[in-house]
Amino acid sequence: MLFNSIEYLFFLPIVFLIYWAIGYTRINDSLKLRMQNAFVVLASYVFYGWWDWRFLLLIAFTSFCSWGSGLLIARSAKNNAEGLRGGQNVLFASKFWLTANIVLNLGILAVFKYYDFFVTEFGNIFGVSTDSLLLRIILPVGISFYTFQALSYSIDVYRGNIKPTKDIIAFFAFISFFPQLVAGPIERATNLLPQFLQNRHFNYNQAADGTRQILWGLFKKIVIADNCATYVDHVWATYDTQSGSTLLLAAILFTFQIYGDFSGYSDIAIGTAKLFGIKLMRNFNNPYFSRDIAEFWRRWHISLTTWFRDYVYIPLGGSRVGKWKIVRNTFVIFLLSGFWHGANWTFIAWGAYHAVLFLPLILLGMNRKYTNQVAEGRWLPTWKEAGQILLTFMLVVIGWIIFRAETIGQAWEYICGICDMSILSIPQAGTKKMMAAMLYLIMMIIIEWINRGEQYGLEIKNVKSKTLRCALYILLAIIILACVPRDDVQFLYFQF
Amino acid sequence: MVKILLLSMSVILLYIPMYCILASLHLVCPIPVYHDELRLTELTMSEISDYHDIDILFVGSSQSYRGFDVRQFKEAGYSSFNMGTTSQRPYQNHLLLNKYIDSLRPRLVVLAVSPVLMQVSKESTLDYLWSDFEKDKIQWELDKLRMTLNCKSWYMFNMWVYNAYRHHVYNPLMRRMGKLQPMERHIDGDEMIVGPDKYVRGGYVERQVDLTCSPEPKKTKVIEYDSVQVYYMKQCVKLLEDRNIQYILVEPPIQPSAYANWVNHSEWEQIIAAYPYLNYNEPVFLNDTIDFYDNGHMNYIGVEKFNKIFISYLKDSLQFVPNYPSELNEEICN
Repeated sequence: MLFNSIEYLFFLPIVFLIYWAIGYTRINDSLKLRMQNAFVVLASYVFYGWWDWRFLLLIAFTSFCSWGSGLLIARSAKNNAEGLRGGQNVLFASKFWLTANIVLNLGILAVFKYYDFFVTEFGNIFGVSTDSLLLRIILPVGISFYTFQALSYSIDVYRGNIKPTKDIIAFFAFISFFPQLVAGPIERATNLLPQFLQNRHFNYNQAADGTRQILWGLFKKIVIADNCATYVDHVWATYDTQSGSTLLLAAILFTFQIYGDFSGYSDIAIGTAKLFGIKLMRNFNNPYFSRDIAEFWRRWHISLTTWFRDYVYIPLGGSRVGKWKIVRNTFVIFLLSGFWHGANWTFIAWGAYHAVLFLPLILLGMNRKYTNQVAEGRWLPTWKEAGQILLTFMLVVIGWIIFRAETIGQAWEYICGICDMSILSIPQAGTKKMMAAMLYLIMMIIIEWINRGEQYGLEIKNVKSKTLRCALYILLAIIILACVPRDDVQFLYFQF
Repeated sequence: MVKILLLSMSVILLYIPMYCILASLHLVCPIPVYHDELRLTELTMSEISDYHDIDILFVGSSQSYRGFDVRQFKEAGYSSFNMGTTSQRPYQNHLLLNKYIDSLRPRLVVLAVSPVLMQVSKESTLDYLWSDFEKDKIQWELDKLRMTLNCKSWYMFNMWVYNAYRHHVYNPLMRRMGKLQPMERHIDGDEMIVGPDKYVRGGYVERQVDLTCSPEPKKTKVIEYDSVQVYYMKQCVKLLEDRNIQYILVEPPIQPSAYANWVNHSEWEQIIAAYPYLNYNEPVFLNDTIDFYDNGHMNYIGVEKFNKIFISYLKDSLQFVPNYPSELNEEICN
C-alpha cells in the first residue's frame, strides 16, 4: 500500500481509531498493551500484504528467527556470566547464534536481491551463458530495511546494549511497524522496541504534530518529487538528444526528486508513527544545506549512515587506526552503502565516488568541521557558506547522475552531455510545464531554510496567529491535491 | 479531533474553486490538459439522435469507428451507425448502450473488442472530458463524472473539475465578452475534415494510405486484464440479452506484426469463450504496410477488405438480411 494512495487514505484513519479504541478499553494495562501490539502487527501485515501477501511469510520468518536468536544469544551470555558452563564454549555459543542470525538474514537478502547480479556478472567475466541459473525472483519491497532492523537487534543483544524480549508480539510489531516497514527509517531496537513494551497514551499535541509532518511529507512527495519525476524520466529516456542545459536541469531536478521522495516518505512515516504514540528517529536533516560532503552524510539517510557507522565502521576500527586502514574502512562503508541500494555497478560506483570525496576530509581530520546548523542565528549564509553549499550540492548532483543511470557508461555519456557548449542554451523538454513545480520547489527550499533548526520543514513556530497557520495548512493540502500526478508514482526507495 | 475535522471540511469545501483558480493561473502541476478543438466524439454524439431502428450498431473504440465503414454497409443494404469513440472501454460501451440503445433500436450490435481494451486506461475518459457536448449538457456532465469516479484517480477528478469549469464557466463567459468564437460542433453535409481524418456521417472515420507505416518491431507484450472492464463487458452483453437484441463480438484486425507480439492470448480466449466471437486477426489477410496507418488501425484500403469479408459473413453465415430494401434504407439513413 502506498502512503499516497486512496487505499491508505481509508486505511490510516480506521487503524488509528481501532488502535486508540483498544487503548481506552477498560481492561488491564498489560492486556491492553498486548492487544494494541497485536493490532499493530495485524495492520502492518495488511499494509504489506496489500502489495503481495506471499512475502508476509518472509517477514514473519525473519522476525521469528531474529527474536529467537536474541533469546539464545542472551541465554548463552547469561550462562557465561553465571559460570554454568565452560567460558570459551559459552562465548562461542553466543557468537554462534549471532553469526547464524546474521548469515540467515544476509543470506535471504543475498538470494532475493543479489543472486541474479552475481550470477550474471560471473557469466560476463567467464564468457558463459548463465540464463538458466538465474532465479528472476521479485524483489520483496523494503527487504533491505527490515533485514537491517532485524540485524541491529541481535547485534545489540550480543553487545549487551539491549535485553532480549520474550514478548514475541512486541518484537513482531518492532520489525513490521507499518509506517517504517518498507522504506525506513531503519530503527534501532534500543529506540523502538522499548516503546512497544510500555503503555502508550494518546497525546493530542503529538498527534497534531504528526499530522503536520505527514502533510509536509506528502507535499515533498506529491508536489515536488512526483512532478520532478515526469521531467526527469522524459529527459533520461532521451538524454542523447537533449542539450547540456536540459541535462543539467534534469540532474538537479532528480536531486530534488530523490530528496522529496525519500525524505517525504520519512516525514510521512515519522508523522504516522506519532499518531500512534511512537517516536521514530530522524532520517534527514536538510542535507542540501551542507557545507561539505562529510556534513552531507551526517544529514542524508541518517538511519542507514549511522547503522553502517555503528555496526561496520567502528568495529573495523573507524578512524582511530592507521591511515591505510582509514582508507580501507572509508571505502568499505561507502561501497557497502552503495551496494545496499541495489545490485548494480552504478550504485557501487556512486558509493566509490562519495568515498573519494569523503577521504580527504577524514585524512585531514576535517570530517567533523561542520556539526552545527549553517548560518546559525542568522537569516542568510555568508558568501563563503553559500559557495560551500553550492559546491557540495553540485558534487552531490554528479553523484546522483551515477546513481540514476542504468550503466556506468550511460552516466559517463550523461555527464559528457552536460559538459557541452549547449549548456549555455535555454533548457528544453517541456520546462514551461514545469514552471509550477519549480515554483513549489523554490517554496520548499525557502520553508526548509527558514525552519532548518526544526525537526521538519513545516514545524512553524514563527507564525503566531493560529488562523494564519490553519490557512497555510489548508492551502498546502489543496496544493497537494491539485498537484497529484497522472499515474501513481511509487516511492523510489521501495526498490531498495 | 474536531479541529482536524474542521480543517478537512474546509479543504473539501474550498477545493474545487481553489483548484480552478490555481489551474487558471498555471499554478498546478501537471497543468491540466484542455483541448479546445472539435473532437470526433462530439461529432458522433451530435448525430446519434438522428438514427432510429437501424440494422447494425457498431460499438467500441477507434478500432470500431476506424474499422467499420458505414458507407460500405449501406451499399450492402444495411442501415448502420458507428458509436465508437476514442479508446472506448467496455465501461463506456455500457454507458453509451444504456443511454442510446432504446432510441437506436438496432437489430444487431457489433461490439468491437480487443485484449488491449481490457486494460486500465484513462484515455477514453479524458476524451469525453475534453469533449463539449451541445445536447444534454447536464446529463453529459454527470456521465463524465461517473466515468471519472470509475477511474479511481485524483488526477482524473482534477481533470473533470477543470474541464467542467472550462466548458460551463470560462468558455461561455469568454464568448459573452467576445474573446472566444463559438465553434461548430456538429457535422454539415456527409463528410467533414477533422485534422488528418475524414469524418463520415454515421460515425466512420477514414484515414488515407500512408505507406511509411512499418511493422511493429519484435517485442513481447503482456496484457494485464482489468477485472472492471471484464465485468462491464458482461454487463453490455446482459443489457443486449435483456432486450433480445442479437449481438456479436468482433476483434478487428491490427497489424499482423503487432498481433504476433502479444503473448498471453490464452487468458483472452478464456474471457471471450462465453460469447459469439470472431477474430479477424487470424488467419492474416492484411499487410503491415499497405493496409494500416499505424500498429492498431487500418487505413481505408484495409477497411474495405475487412468490411467486405465481414459483410459476406453477415449475409452468408449469420443469414442477417437487411430490414429494408436499399432505397428505403437510404431514406432512413438520411
